[in-house]
Amino acid sequence: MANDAQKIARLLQTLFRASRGKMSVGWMIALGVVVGGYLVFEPALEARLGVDLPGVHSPEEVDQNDTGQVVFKSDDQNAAQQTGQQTTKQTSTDAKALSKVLKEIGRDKFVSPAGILYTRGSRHGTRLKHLMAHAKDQPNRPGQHGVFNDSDAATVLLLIDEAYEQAISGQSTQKKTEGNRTIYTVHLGRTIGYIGGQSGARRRHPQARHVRLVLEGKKLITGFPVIP
Amino acid sequence: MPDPETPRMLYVGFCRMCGTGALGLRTCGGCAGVVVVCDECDVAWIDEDLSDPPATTGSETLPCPHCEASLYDPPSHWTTGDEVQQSDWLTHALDHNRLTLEVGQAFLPEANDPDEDLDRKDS
Repeated sequence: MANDAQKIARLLQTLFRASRGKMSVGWMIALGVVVGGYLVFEPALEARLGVDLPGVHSPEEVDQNDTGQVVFKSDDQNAAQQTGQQTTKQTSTDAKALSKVLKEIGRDKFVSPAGILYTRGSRHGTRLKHLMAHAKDQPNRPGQHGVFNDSDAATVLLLIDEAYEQAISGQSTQKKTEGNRTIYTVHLGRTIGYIGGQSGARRRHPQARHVRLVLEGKKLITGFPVIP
Repeated sequence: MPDPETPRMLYVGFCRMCGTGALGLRTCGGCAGVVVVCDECDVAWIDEDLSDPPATTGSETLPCPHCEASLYDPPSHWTTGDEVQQSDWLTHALDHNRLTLEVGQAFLPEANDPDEDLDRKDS
């Protein structure tokens, strides 16, 4: 159970003990209904308001790998581990090797199912390589470095597509434009990564539920997990 | 302290546009001008007025705001301490506390990944 949920349970216990003999059974039932309703609707409220509310919705476990690096395990990874299955990861940043996700439309130019363009660019050489540099932590990078939980390139591309489609619909999205740039901050309603870099390490790698997309038209400049 | 084998970058804060990238000082290989570059979202400013719109933005290349040479490709490079001293606008901004200079590790391009370098040599 998440820390937030434990705090809520402790608070309820304290309230019930303090109110014993002072509060009628009816009021106690009403309080229980209100708290239960909040816990049921909390994920939907988060998605609608674009904020992170306390609750029981954090199933991810924190673990450390052989190098001591913090690793957040998703439900799928936990299930695979319990059944002894190995998940196969396609860490390639060669866009041609991702033909199931990206369609080549020109020299070094690819389009995703949602219509995002991946071109050459950045000091990484291509936008795809730049994006996938956010699939691992860079602990010495100044400030924060958003890291996707999943290092599978196809999975990250589909996550970016999902965030883009949600951004276009305007749901749980903050939008900022400056010149030819559009910056979307999209609340995806689930943990999709964590904050690394020097700032993230100081804060013990907090989990991120938002993705920030920087676009020029439909060209992806960068995308990464963020806590707004 | 940054790893000596990774790119060392002098930077003057963080990018207000993407909210993440360090604002590195980059010396243009074409005109030797020193500009401020976000190492996350590839935008460039010509001086300390970082609340102004960026002078150039890059999607496939990041052109120097002064001469349009590529700020990504050599001989463009992260500005050295000596080059800071030779830049009038930068020394002026530092002397008047408009900018604070820090040193850190640039966002690592995969081109610096030794495994990938080996792959390239093999092919």
